[in-house]
Amino acid sequence: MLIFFLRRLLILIPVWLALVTLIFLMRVLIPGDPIDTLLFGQPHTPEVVANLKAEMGLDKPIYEQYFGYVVGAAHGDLGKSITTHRPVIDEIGDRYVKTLTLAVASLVLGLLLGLVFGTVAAMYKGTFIDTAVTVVSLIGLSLPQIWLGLLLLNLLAVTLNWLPVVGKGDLPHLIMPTLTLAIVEGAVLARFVRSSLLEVLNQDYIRTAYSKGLRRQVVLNRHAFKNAMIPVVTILGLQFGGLLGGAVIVENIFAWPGLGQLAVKAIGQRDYPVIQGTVLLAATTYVVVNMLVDTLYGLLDPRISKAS
Amino acid sequence: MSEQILVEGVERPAQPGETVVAVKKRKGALGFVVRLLRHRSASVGIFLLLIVIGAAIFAPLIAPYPIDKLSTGKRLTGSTWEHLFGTDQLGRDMFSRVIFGSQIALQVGITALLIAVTFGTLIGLVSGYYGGWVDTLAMRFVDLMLAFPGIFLALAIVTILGPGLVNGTIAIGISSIPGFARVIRGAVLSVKSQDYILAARAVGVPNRRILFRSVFPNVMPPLIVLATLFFPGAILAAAGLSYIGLGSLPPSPDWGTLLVDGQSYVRDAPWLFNFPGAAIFIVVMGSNLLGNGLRDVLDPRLRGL
Repeated sequence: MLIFFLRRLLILIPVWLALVTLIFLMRVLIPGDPIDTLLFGQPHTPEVVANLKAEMGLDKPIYEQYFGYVVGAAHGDLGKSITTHRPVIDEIGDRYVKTLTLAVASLVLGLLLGLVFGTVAAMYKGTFIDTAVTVVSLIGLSLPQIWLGLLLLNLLAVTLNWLPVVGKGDLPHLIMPTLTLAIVEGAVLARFVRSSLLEVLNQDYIRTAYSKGLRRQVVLNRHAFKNAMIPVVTILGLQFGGLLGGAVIVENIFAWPGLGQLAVKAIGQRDYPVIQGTVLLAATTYVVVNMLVDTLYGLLDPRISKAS
Repeated sequence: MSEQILVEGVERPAQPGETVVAVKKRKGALGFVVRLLRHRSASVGIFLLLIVIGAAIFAPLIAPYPIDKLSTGKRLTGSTWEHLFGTDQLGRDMFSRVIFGSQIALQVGITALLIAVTFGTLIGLVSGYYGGWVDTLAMRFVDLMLAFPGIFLALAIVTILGPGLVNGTIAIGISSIPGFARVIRGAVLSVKSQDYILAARAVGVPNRRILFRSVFPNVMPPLIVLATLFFPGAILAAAGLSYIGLGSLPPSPDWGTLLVDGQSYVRDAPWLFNFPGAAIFIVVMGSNLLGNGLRDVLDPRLRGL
């Protein structure tokens, strides 16, 4: 098991290096001189340009810039913001934690919704309840997050006045963005849980368990549920990526001070080091989460870790 | 039944029995449409998409006002007979704007889809069929692209290209190439080992011919299903990009842009975001329903997609 985990950890190193390379290339690919773009429309002297170039490290040859970026990134140094001149890592600050909190809270709530609705639908397969759950989940996963967010804002903050329209980055502020992401997430997972559970309920060992005279509840809890969870766990990593991406939109709807909000602001200001930093952090997180999910998958299903 | 037709479709290049095959194929295509229309969720999906396509094509006839006609006397009125969806802060008719917005939404969705399908399929076909270092290289790159969660890859591409509706569309298209390439490659791998491919190889049919005449038609079912399921994602992503100011900009009646406007009036004028939101929802729901139907009708084995 430990070897399985360590091997996964080692694979991450080349993947991460490739990611950093790609993100470094991003700036090289941007047409035009970044200094020109930055100073566009402002009066400037050659000294100002030279100073800025030195500050951003653009006076060095490209390979030196590249190695500097990789070594820096490995140490958490992502360069300096063009607009605020503060280190990118300080700009990110606790925004990263805010985004992770939002993504994890949405995943947990979404999983809860998905498990409850998916299980109910599977248990009452072919009945009115099953159809209702299927239709509701289809509606849920077709809802545009922006619209859903605005509907919640209108309902919970304006009409019912339960929550403030403008949050303060605290727990009440977290409720609406989490709900927005979790409703769509729950809809996706409910369909998945349902089909996974139905597949398991058709297996021979479930019939065996019933024929031993076990009660339905015991069969479901001990035999069916655990096995039905394996495929669900595998997609959780992928879903987490979707949530990180969705957070970009949702953070901007509810002014949740996370990574997505920073990324969008930085793109508006053409603050490339900050954009690169946020994208790198999001991608790294996604890769690490998927590695952890793979490991968890190995724990749940010993056949996997033994096979590798 | 359907398998038989597929097999004949593949034999076509080898045998010049064109007429017989053509008749059977048409029958197959007709049968396919009938089965699709009988499928409950597919028919509802087609109905919803037809509403939107109709709105886009006949927008100039349907919309009662020009999209930018200001009417200072009637700012922020709710739904009335005169203005079905109300008016916005400048007195523009929301119904006309939402109707014209369907043109933008479909343009974005279809363009992004074409980019993703074309390049994704090419990469997937070549990678899966030839294998070897080409495959390894392509798939490592695809894996790397897939490491960017959700909209982040599109964000990175928009950063390089610069914001705007056209660049946003290209970014959404490019960022979906890896997903298509991965699925098509998988499908090619399973087709590649079939007897009819081996037979074609054995009689010396050139690789490129096998690839496009025999392999490609057989990866169509997953491709079609994936495309239908990708389409709503593209529409949602485009709305998202516009919403965060990286897609189309005001005064465009793009649905995402309308939602941005609507947010400023979340307190007093919910119709400003409800109608564009519902419009996006109809397209997305319609394509999801059609995608589910296509998956059932084309190939029940694809249920996991």
